[in-house]
Amino acid sequence: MTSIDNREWMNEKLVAYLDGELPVGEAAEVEEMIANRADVKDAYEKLVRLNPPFKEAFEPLLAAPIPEKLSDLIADTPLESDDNPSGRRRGGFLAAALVGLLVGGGVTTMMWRTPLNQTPDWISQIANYQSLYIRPTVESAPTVDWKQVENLIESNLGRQVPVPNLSQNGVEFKRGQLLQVNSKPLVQLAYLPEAGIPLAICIMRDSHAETVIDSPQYGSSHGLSYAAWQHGDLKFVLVSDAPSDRVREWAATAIAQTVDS
Amino acid sequence: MKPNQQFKQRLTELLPRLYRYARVLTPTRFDADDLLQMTCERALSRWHQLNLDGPMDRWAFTIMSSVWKNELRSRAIRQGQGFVAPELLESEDDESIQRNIYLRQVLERVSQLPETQRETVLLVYVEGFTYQQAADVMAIPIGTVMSRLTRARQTLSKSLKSGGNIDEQESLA
Repeated sequence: MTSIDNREWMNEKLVAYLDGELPVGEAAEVEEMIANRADVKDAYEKLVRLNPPFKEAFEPLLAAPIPEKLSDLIADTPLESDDNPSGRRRGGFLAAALVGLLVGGGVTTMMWRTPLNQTPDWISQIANYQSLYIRPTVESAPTVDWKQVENLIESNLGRQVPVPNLSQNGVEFKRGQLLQVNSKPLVQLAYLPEAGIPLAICIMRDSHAETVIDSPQYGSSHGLSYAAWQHGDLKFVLVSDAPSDRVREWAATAIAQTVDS
Repeated sequence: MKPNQQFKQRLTELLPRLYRYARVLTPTRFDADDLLQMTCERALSRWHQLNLDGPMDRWAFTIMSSVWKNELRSRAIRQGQGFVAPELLESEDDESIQRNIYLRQVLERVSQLPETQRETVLLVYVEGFTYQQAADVMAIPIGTVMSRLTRARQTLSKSLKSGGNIDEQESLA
């Protein structure tokens, strides 16, 4: 060990001693060195002298007003149940979902779970699936043929829908694939934003839908934000881990192309 | 009180500390707002993972640390904001900061530290976490906590000195 290494080591020990973080034996060794070595004593006294009042200095930051929407978010977000089973149920579900993905290949049957209080079940399932995505999941996808994906939508959902182009928002379309939710076909369009996990726009057909929802519904599920809208008998949902304002921005672009087209 | 209500109440009470952590981590208030929101959303979706008999703060701080490092930090860099955050100090509570120039200088000097050092300073010296608890929050070895704190103290020592604040500092000691 060089003298510089020794000095760094000693400085770390002195800081840890000052912070009360050394075990009794090591603390006694440091005390002995402070008592017997002038250089160590000087270094320690300097540390004590220059010990800034961090806690007090940072106190004013606690008074910064919390964004109002955060209190609303906490109050309005439904929790999955009244009990607190310490994560056992979710762990089992995620494992099951992963197995579903592995054995499903191109067409994945998603697993069923207890419905959420307010988030529609199909959106909850999609959000849960999407939360497994990481950037490499779609980053290396080959160049996508948009027309082929639009044919996939038409052949499985029976409707012509253009693939939303979010490039103006800095979001790149990467791939489309057919999935299944509750025995109904669902087309998932995966996009890669500049940062964060991939986002998805999912489309499914609901023959029982009678109303047209022009204004999207927003919410969060499984730690992801979503925007859902409907046009005719087609239901759309955009799911992402991005802040909700960006989800709204992206959804506005997608809605303009899927509803107004 | 039902467990879910208890969880929401405790999370709400924790917001000022979480927001302060977000402000220390991020370069702009905009990023801090995003980080706080994502942390809350993540915490709400994983509430059943928390042992309600134990502390919530380290659990929530760990979520925030993870969200920042894995999801938001690269975006902040890409947007050209960097980590140097002079606006971090433009607190709404500016008036109370000014009542003590030295405290403000300490805050300014800490904000000028590298992100990893100022994060560690906050967790250990402001939040009062032990080295091990801070290491767990940041998912790093405890030795790294020690070296970060030592380097932070060395830098602060020099910068406060060069700012000519020794007399004020000593008067507060």
